[in-house]
Amino acid sequence: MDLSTSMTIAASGMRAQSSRMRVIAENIANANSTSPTPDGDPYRRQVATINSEFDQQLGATVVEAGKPVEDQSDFRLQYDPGNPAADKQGYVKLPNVNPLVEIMDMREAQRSYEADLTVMEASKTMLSRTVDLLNK
Amino acid sequence: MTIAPSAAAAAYNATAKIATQSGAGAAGESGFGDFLSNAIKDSIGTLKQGETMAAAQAAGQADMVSVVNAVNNAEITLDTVVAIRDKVISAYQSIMQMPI
Repeated sequence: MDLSTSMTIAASGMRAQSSRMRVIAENIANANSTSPTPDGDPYRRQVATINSEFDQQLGATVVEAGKPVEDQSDFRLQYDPGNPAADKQGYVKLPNVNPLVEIMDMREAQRSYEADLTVMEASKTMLSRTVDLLNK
Repeated sequence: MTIAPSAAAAAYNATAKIATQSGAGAAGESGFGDFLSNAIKDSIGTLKQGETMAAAQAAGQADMVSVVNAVNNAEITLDTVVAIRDKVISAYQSIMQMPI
């Protein structure tokens, strides 16, 4: 039935957005993670990928969270000679995470999730109101 | 005017024959009974899936969204089955209360 299919599609969107949220949480939590050694790299920012996929069994295009990809942009450098991760010049490599970008990504994931929730709620209401017709 | 009991029995037999013939023809394609039992089998499957997902969630093996989806489907299916059952029972009662 089309309405329960749309509920399943909305559920796939919600799943994808929650996996995106997990990647964002990792980025925010690791925004200050440095390497334990001076020559190592700090935490590298992950970018969540979302793909559309045709579900044969369902007969509809659903959303799937892809594998997170590493952000290859440069690390931030900070002068901090006392840090164990500092190089000979006293610079520490910090993760390429920009909290502002992460917060905006988080907002977007939140709103997309809410949109999927609304679709689910509307489909459910449509279905149950139709069933209610039998009760009259 | 009088009606012989044997004539009435013959008329009843003729009608019954027609009824069984048409009934058999319909059952060959897809009878109402088949339709009903298929629908009920489907809904039992949906309900079972909802239960399985809820149990998996309790064991920490399923994500919340799948559980909500499965339970939602089960709820709507159960509502539909109950509504149809009520309708069928009320139809049956209307027939039983029919003055003969």
